[in-house]
Amino acid sequence: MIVRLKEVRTAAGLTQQELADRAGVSRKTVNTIENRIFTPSVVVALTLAKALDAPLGALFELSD
Amino acid sequence: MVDQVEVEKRKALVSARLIRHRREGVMLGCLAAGALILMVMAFQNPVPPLVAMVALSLSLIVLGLTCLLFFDLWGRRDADRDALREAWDRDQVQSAEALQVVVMAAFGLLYMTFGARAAWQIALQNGDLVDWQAAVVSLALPAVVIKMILSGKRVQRRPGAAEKDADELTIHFRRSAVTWSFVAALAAMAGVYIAGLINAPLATAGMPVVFEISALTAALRYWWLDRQASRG
Repeated sequence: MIVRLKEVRTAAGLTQQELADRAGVSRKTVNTIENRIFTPSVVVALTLAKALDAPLGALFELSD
Repeated sequence: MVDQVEVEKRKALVSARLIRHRREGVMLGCLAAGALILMVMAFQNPVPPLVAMVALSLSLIVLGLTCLLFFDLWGRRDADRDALREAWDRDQVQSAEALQVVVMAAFGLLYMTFGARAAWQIALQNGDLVDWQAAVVSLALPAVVIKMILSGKRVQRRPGAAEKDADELTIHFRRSAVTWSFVAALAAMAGVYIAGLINAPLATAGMPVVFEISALTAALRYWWLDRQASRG
């Protein structure tokens, strides 16, 4: 899976903590998703997309 | 204006609680020191073996309870400090929990040592009531650690707050810790089984070691994942 969370977050001018606060998750959750340690559920992925005001496909994409 | 007065009143209450926590911490320290002194005396003084073993069992129980109470106190103190700063970092809760399980599991090594010795005596048909006590008590800390790792809940540190559902990341960490713990337990059991084939009492004496290895692996894996998540 291709994860573009970090790119979208930095483009939005947000820190990990700010995004975590907006999405109601911990900073560690954001950090581990960005570093591909943790694959989030659909609920968390949609929550992050909503917090960044971006479509889900902009954050996560299936690789070939 | 009224709100400001309320806030000041709440801060004063929290400050008073912090002072009380410090006193409780000193008392717990004294209790732990007393238990350690009792343990040392039980080994050094020429007292009857039964008295020594009773003193030892008592020391272990007091030390275990002190450890649990200390972490509860530490959590409440942190929560009050956060309240004073008017900030709340949920990451801290997980890090505190990770450190707590590691310390508990490390502390369990002490229980394991006494438990294995007692189990050895029991397996050789030389065990008395105190050996039975030590053997059973040795299961306490691994049980507490595994219970914490298996729990789907997260203890809140705010005074009086109810437990909260653990978030996805915590559950992911716990699953990984349980998997590692299971593999470690199987490996340890295989070792104990082979040791038991060679010398049967070793199979019984090795069981506290199996439980401790299982708990320690779970705790260390959970702590390592938490450290990894904290970086970056």
